[in-house]
Amino acid sequence: MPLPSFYDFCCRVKTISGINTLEQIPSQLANMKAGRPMIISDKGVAATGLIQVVIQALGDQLQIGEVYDQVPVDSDYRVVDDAAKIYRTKGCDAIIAVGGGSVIDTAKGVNIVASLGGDTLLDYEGLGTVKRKLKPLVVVPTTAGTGSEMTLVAVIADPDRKIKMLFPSYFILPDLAVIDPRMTKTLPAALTASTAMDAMTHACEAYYCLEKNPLSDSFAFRAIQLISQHLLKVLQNPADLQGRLALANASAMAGIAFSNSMVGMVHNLGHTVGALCHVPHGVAMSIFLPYGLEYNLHRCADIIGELLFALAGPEIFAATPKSERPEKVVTFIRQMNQDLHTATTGKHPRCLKEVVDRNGAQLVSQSMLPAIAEAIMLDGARLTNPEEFLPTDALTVLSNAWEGSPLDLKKVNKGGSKVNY
Amino acid sequence: MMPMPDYYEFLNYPKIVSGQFALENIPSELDGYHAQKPLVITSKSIVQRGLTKQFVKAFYDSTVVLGGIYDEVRDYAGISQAREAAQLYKARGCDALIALGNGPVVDLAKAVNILVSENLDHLGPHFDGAAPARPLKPLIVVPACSFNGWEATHAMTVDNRRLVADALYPAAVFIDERITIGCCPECLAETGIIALAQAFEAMTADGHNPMIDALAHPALNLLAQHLANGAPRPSDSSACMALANAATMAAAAFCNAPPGMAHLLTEALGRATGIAPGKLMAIILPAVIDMLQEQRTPIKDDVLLALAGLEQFATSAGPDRGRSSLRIMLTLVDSLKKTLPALREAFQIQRHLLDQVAHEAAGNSAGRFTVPQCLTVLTQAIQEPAS
Amino acid sequence: MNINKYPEVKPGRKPLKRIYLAIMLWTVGKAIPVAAKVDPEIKKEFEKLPKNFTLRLMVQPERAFPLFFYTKMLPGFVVKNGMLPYGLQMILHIDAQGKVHYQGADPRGKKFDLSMAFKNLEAAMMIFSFRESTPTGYAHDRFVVEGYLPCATTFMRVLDIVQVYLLPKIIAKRAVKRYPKWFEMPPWRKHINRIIIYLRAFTF
Repeated sequence: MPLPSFYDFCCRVKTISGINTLEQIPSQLANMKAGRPMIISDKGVAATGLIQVVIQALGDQLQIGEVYDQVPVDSDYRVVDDAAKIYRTKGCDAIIAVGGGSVIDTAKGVNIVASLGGDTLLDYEGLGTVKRKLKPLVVVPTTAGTGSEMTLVAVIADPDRKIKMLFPSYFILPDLAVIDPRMTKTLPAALTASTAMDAMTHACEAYYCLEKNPLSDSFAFRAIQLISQHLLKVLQNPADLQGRLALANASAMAGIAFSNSMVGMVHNLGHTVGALCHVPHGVAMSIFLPYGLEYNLHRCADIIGELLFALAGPEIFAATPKSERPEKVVTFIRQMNQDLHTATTGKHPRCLKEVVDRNGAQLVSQSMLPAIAEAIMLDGARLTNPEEFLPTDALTVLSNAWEGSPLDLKKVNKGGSKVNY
Repeated sequence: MMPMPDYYEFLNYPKIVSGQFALENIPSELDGYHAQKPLVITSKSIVQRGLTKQFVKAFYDSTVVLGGIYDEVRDYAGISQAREAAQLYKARGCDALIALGNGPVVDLAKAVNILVSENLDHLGPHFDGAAPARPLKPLIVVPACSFNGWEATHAMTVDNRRLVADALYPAAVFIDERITIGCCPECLAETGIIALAQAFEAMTADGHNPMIDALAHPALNLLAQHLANGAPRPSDSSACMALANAATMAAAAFCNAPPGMAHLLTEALGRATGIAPGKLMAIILPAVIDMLQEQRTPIKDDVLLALAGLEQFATSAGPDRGRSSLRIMLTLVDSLKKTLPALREAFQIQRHLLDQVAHEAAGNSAGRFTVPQCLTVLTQAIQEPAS
Repeated sequence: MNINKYPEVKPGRKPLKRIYLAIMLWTVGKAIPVAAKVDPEIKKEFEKLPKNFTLRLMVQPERAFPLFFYTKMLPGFVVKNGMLPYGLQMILHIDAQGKVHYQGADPRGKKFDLSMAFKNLEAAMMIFSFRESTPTGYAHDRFVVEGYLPCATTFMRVLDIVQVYLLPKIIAKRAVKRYPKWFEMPPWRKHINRIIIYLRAFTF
């Protein structure tokens, strides 16, 4: 683990993890001198009964001010204002966010308005407007993989101006992240597979992208180990709480790794096909991950080779000669996608053409690929990819990923020198 | 594969910024907390080494005004000095604190932080168990010279009393080669050995916490690579940086884990004899490792992975891994023999003092170690080598 | 206690580095509008940005060197006519027709849709003295982006191509991730465009 010439690392959210951790929330909130939380969540979470699990676990040690489960998939500032108003009328003094990325971001926004006063989040747009400690915010992630619980920025849309507003501040970081396997126990097999592969992608990209550092490496490495050891077992036995806990921990660790090391072209492609074709994030991640590794192979073969240890274990690592390890990593991830495909009876897609929506219609047609390739330039993740990633490169990768065929390494545009981390 | 623990808590509060021109980032970091005027707390020796001049240069061309450089700290942090610094802080209208230095400097800065944030005149209520109610002012630590291992943690020692509270975590640790470089070999070795013990004991503590492992892993790895060559060469900037980084990571891991035996003993012995913790650790750590070897305590595979790297780990046989990791630890400690020779004073410690120290350490361990265990290790540690 | 023993320390200044950066920012700022005319790829990138868009590249803190600092050293008419750089900035404006204009270094009275700021002078020096490439600088958190984020990546791509034009290959190779291959940017096009950019940007 060489020390990079410069790095910064920050994961200051207190994390509690374990089989019955939800029960600890009241005492943790009491330490923060709060006892009347508002629960923020979305309809999907409410429908699976997870909010009931949380409420039961909280018990009668504290009063729940309000359960707000109206957060839409693409949340905007009006939802935030609405929730903040309810927060005030019900006299709450803390927020518990139960859900995925959208819910967590909304909760961060509600916390800004509810703590600092005012009627609307728009008053707090821009850098340096959030200037003091906010109310306690507890985050209970339900989808293993987003990592929003660890980041210090809230992203909230403004549909009137069609932009995404960013609220970066140290003060909006959640105070507590709660990892409890009961939150992911009921996740269906296909979603388990794709969210775990999402976390796997975070970890892999964190390990080879430009902003890597020893600490993010270490978190990423452990996350990969945990996922590759537990994912298939959990799919075979969905009630395996230990395995679920391991996956949830892996996702949190991958979140720590990638929020400090940033991500690369896999996310770049994933964000773009998500925005243009509504491909679910986790699915896109698992499809593009092997291509991301292949595409950057010539730039950081040694580093990618190290991943074999985490994926396949020391025995296979030792048995593989050093020069063959990087390729073996790619094969291993492909095999993993194949195994997941089998384990979920075909619901986990292996390539873009297999991605379908709820009615079975194909989401990405071959004719859309050039448009997607052009749109990758609008996403920041391309900056931290080790190799330059331009629309022409993206088109090559996309057409291979659509078919599911490996990348022709000779056709990858190579150039520049070895990456300096 | 270790099973996941049924419950753990983990917090690694300080942001770590390390590398080229790290110091120049302090103004924008302070800006994130809406602070513009920090008070710098440092020691005379740092000023004499010319480090404050380097430090001030990093603020050129920024809007940050340093509210004052309080440089009266020696090797002891006391409440009277904290009051003085707090008075200076208030008189200048400061809004943040920067601790430039090691152990006592940081302790004093943490004490000043409580005084100014809560508008107090003494720390009495906090030593009696009251947690700081409000979030404290941002405290930035710029480590220089030897670490005592507590800088980046949530603990402080003022007037020989320790206070632990989550609010005491520094907001950020800035590691810059202009400040870390050039100390004496002894200081580096002491920093290294304490970090080594912290990382090792955090990783091998009871219960398996993947987050602690992830923090201790790079610390052990950096120490294994740089401790032996780096400690004798204080002008080697990359080794200094690696050791300072390792020490910060090790401390972050350590303050999440229950303290291990080497730490409890070093601390108790340090209090009883007044010898610097790094020097004591150099004789106690090998004794603890010897004990682990003799008792055939199972050691996690991860320790070898961190110390030896992927290649060597993968080629070693499964059952040997614990033992080889202990061997590497011993070699690492041995490599410091030249820079950190065994202490003459330590061999003359009276028997009754040892009893007292063993009792204290066992008492602080919450029942994890017994008095005879501690005594055995201590006796072995202070045995004069035959040669 | 005598608090005068511990005086306040006001930040000093690094005038040489500021002058160097001012020249670099001015050079890049002048070159971009011309490059947008001659290079098809830059043109395409700018077409992706909204119309009536103002962006800037700057060095924080904005107010470290206000106008008044220079006033004592410079002749009066410079101050009166507002020819002074206000901090270190490079402002570009894309008008309603999609044409790119360099608008100098004075941010007063302008509203910025996108602002890319180096966190400090040394960070900007690392990049503009080519010790760190732009992507590495981004990875090392040397600058912060404020405003409409997707445009920041577009703008960084433009900067990359402009660097290829302005700098000799041996330096530009260090500044970008992948120096364009001959089929991405044919040598004749590169050299002719380079001459055009230098001539038109810095003559009239």
